[in-house]
Amino acid sequence: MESPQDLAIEANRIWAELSSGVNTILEKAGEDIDPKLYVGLYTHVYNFCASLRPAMHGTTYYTAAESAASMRGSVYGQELYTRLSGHVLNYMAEVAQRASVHQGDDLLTFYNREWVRYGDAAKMIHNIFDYLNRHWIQREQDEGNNVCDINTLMFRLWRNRFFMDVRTALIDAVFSLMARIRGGQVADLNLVKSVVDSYVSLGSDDAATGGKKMEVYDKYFLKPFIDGTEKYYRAEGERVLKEGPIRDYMVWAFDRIKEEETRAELYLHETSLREFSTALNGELIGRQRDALSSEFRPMLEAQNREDLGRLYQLMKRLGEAVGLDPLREIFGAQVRAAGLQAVERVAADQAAAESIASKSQLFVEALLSVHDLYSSILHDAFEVDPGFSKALDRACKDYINTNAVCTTNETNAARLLANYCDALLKKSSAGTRAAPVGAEGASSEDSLEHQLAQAICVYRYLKDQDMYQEAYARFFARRLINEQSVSTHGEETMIAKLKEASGSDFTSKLMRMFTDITLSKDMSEQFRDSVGKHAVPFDFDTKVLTTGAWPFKAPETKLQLPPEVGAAVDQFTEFYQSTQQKRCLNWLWQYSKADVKIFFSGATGAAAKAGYVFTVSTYQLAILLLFNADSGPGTRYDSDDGPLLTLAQITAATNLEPAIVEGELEVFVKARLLNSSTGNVDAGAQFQLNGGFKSKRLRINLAGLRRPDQKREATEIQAAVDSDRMQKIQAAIVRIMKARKQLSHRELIETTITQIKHFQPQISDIKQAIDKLIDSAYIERSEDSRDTYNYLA
Amino acid sequence: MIKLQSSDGIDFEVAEAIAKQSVLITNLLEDLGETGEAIPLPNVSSKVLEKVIEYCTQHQHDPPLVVDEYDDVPRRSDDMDPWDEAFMKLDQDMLFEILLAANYMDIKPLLDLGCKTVANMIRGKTPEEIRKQFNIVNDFTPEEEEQIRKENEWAEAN
Amino acid sequence: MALDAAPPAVAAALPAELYMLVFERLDSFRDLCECSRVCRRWRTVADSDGVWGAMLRRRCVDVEAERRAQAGVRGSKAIFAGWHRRYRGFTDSYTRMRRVFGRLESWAEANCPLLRQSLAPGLGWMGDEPMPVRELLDVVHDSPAMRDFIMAHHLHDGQRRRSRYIECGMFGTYECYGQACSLSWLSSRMLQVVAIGRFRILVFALCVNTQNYLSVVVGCPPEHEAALMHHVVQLQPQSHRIEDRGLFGDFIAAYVDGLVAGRHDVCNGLISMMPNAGPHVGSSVTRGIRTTVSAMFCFDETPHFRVYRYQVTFEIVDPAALGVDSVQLVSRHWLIHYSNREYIQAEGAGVVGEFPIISTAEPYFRYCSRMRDEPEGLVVVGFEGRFSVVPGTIDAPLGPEFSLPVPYVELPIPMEIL
Repeated sequence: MESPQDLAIEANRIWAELSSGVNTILEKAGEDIDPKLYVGLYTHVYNFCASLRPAMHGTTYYTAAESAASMRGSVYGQELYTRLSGHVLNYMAEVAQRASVHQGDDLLTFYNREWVRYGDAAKMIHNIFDYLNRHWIQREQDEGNNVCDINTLMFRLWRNRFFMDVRTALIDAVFSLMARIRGGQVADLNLVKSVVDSYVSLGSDDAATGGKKMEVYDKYFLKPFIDGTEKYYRAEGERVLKEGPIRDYMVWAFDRIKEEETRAELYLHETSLREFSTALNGELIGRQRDALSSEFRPMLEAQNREDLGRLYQLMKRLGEAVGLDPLREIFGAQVRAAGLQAVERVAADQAAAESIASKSQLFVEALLSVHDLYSSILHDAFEVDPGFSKALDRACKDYINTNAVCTTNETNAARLLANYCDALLKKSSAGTRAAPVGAEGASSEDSLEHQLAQAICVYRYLKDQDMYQEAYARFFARRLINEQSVSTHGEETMIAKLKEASGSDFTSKLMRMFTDITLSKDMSEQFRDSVGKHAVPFDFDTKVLTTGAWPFKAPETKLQLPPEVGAAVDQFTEFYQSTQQKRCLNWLWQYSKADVKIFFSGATGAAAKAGYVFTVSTYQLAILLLFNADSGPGTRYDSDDGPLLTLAQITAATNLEPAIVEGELEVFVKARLLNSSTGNVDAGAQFQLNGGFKSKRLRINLAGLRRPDQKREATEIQAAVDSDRMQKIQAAIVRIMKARKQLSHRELIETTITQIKHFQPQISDIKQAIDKLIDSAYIERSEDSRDTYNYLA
Repeated sequence: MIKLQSSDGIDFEVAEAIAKQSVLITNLLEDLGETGEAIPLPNVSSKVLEKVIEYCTQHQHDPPLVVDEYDDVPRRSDDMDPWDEAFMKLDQDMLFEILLAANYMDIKPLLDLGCKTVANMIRGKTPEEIRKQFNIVNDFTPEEEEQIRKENEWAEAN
Repeated sequence: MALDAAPPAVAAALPAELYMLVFERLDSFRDLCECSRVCRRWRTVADSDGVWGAMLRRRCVDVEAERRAQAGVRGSKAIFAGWHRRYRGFTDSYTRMRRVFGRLESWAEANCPLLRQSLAPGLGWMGDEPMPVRELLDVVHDSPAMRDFIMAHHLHDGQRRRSRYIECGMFGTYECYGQACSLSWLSSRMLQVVAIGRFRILVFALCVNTQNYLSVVVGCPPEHEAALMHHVVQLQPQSHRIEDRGLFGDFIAAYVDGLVAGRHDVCNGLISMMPNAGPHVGSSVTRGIRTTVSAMFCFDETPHFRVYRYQVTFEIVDPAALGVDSVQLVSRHWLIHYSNREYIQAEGAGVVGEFPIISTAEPYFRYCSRMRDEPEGLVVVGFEGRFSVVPGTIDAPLGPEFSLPVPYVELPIPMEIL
């Protein structure tokens, strides 16, 4: 057995070979290394750890158990570990020596070259010392001792001995290089990139103490680098601001940030790009935030989209809350002001005051002009930013619903929009009223579709969508039964758009009406076929409408039909009931029309030959037929111009209410179709056909002259909407309570509000609905707490 | 193919997949690239290297070991692959030589197998039986033996 | 024979680190103690911190806690010996429960932080501190199964007293028709033995809303002793129905394994009681939509007939296979099987009063509903069926309707022996 002295000599011999091999690798890493040297060194490490020891401790194995445990296995591992670190430390000192003569780009080049070679060497030495890693180091780490693997040790030595010496000089070199690049000169950015990579690889100051992974990079590169960059741009920014207006500064800052960011991607570590950008943003934008923001309103007024876009891009970098929210507020206020102003102009407009048609036309166009302008800016300059979008929506909602025009029930936005849509979709009949201005625009289907799309755009902003729906349904019904739709395609397009905007609940009602009209057309034909061509002595056309689907009610007044018409009606009723079992027909005379041809005794020329054709309502027809030369309610035959009748006689013969008869007679007298003995419509007057009736046109419409009463209609719509709302609120409450079983008053009200679409329920209405539901025993107040409701199944 | 050279100067040519089960060889090839030169293994004799290569050839297609940190239930050391068990039926000299070689060349599965085999030889035996098994001389004094017995008394009770 | 010449030389030439590797492969600490008595050289290795450190790790011993408990003791072997003395008779349970709860903790850390916060450290029943429920230990006797139970409470004390996350039931939660159930692991102080009929049970988890219990049977009539003694059962006192979940150690290990394997969804930090896989789950994938139906017995319902909750989850797993952006559910078609081999068809429009739309934007819809025996005495045993869905929406279909099949789901029928 060898003596301890012999073993120490052996250990020194092995170490001598090992250390000179390590030197070779440090100097020649990356070049060819002989496998024999590699394995030889590996074997030296193995022998140093595994073979020396048992022999060395040959006679002194035994020690007391506790101290043996700490001694065991550590001596030679520790020895080798210490010798290696000491050796590499010396090498590092020598590298530091060589580095001290370099500076600037030279230093960067030197550092990078050494760094790359050292990295290769460290990895190889790590593998050569594998046996130490595997056993001694592994054990030490398992026991929680502060020992790291060889590769980490190598980097730790580089960092502590060499890097710490040279880091200030390195950063200075990086700055001088960056300053040249920023000043427009050419320099090798890769030098910076390589240095950055080495900082990243160096990890943390001390891995064992739980330092952050990139501590060295963050602390010794990123922080000074960002500080320096900030300082540089603070000075530059002040210079640019002094030289020109803030708008020039904006362009300059925008370009510089872009340029810096693009460049940063080439050399900074990817995890710090954001931090770098934040610093740039803070320096170049944040510092001038107030000055930049104050430019926003003037730009908006000038509609300068390029500048707006640039400012948006800049402010976006400061983040939602700091950068964009103030701009969004300004944007919303601007839209609101512009909208209100546009509507005020409509309110003051003479043309708008003339008719509801032109008012709605001008109103909607004003709304759209503002909306379109700002949504195009939103699109061009703000990348359809959701926040700006929301501000626009909110502002539109405000000015569309509450403004100088929407002051009464008849002129609220929903009604005006419904009127506008009606005008778009209604055939303009030149004879009865002035063509709406939009009619020329709607000449082609494309532009009609565009206008409808715009109407829907306004619709989406309406507060009272249900009000619009109610009014639209009424106009729609009227267009259908009067066959006044501009085109079926147009109606269908609008229905499709409405469905898209608010679901199928509403549009299914409209579709039902559509279907009724189509079926009626078929049915009229079948009727004509079944009774034969001549059974009815005039053209007879009927529309069968489903009760409930249409906003019409059966008339309250009775009407004694003229016998000619009565016969046809009876025939149709019989035919209808033969095809449809158990269905009852109610005739809506107030919506029916007829054409009558009248030959006047005093007529000349074409009028004498062809007669005049009058389009009249059924009521008018019943009255008019009384004046037929050979008819009349058994009165005496007074003159060539037919019977002479009093108001009372007419009322008795038609069975209509006197007020209606009076109204119709006024129309006739005004149109000079009838003559009144007194010139007025009163109880003492006698009426007779005006034999000398003259008109430029042969076709005259009298049916449309009695306009539907706007005021009454508005009230009706309001009533219908109110009762519908109450029902919807009640339904929502029942639905909620059924699901939740028990809710507090506050929760119930909040949930109800969120459940209801198409209108904003009033709290008072909800309370009323709750009371009604309690009365009808759908829900009850909880006994424990008056503030809580229970659902009653 | 990779050429390995034993301590007594004999070359073995083996497929890369076989040689690379040794972490030493893997690292070396990675660090130096393939030079075509024989890789010397000064601590492994040809007799042992032959057995090591036999083992590596058998296991060249094994999937890498996966360690589940929760799954370190005391592994039964006797659930051995039958081939491995047969392979380990060696005289003690060879067994220890292979253990040393696996440790030197860093072949983890073989090292594990060798350690398991030795552990199986120890399991359930008294100290005297163990000494006999491995031909070890008891170098304790009777006083020491008594002291150690006392130290381990806790383990006797249930 | 050269027996006496060579072997000692080689055996002696093994470096110590190899002996360490060998000794680490000895499972029994007794073998290791024997090794330390072989010779001086073996002793230094067999008594080393390295070897015993590995042993401590393998037994999942909380070394820091042991260092505190055994002040002044140094060296891994001594710590092991101290631990072994302290937990005499409980060491296997200790290791088993440490492993289970370690697993549970690291799973909860990543998946359910609320649960992690509510898992309080143990009360240290095994330490010098007074045992808070000594009478309980008298009740539960000493059996391997109960040792697991006691160790579990020793290591983890259930819901923290200060911040009780009652909603975060360790054994899952569900909500159905407005009723929420959440089975929470009880703190040691809340443990209690309850007598039900001829059974005595030790309740360790319960839901305060539904009176749903998880408990260990600690006393039962002789005819059930073999099958149920010390088993975990789920039950509800009024319904007199129970579900056997096996011995505590097996139950908790299987439950935690299930959690780690994703057997239960975690939604808003709550563990869903409905399993994703297992015997009472049916799942199918059709045109990129996965339909999963799982069923559970309701312990909180009327005693007159059995009620089950089932949960249906639709999820778009493969938008490409679906081919459209959305589908809308049109109707459901169930085939409910009864014990007398009869079955009944049940159909309806939508589910729970809705016609849900599943789209690539919202690829997930889940609802929960109930199913029960017929009052006339028909016992429901399972169900299967399908859902009809239409591509696009009902109002704007983009193609013909198709079916999402639900394979047969067997209901977990509880035992009725109380």
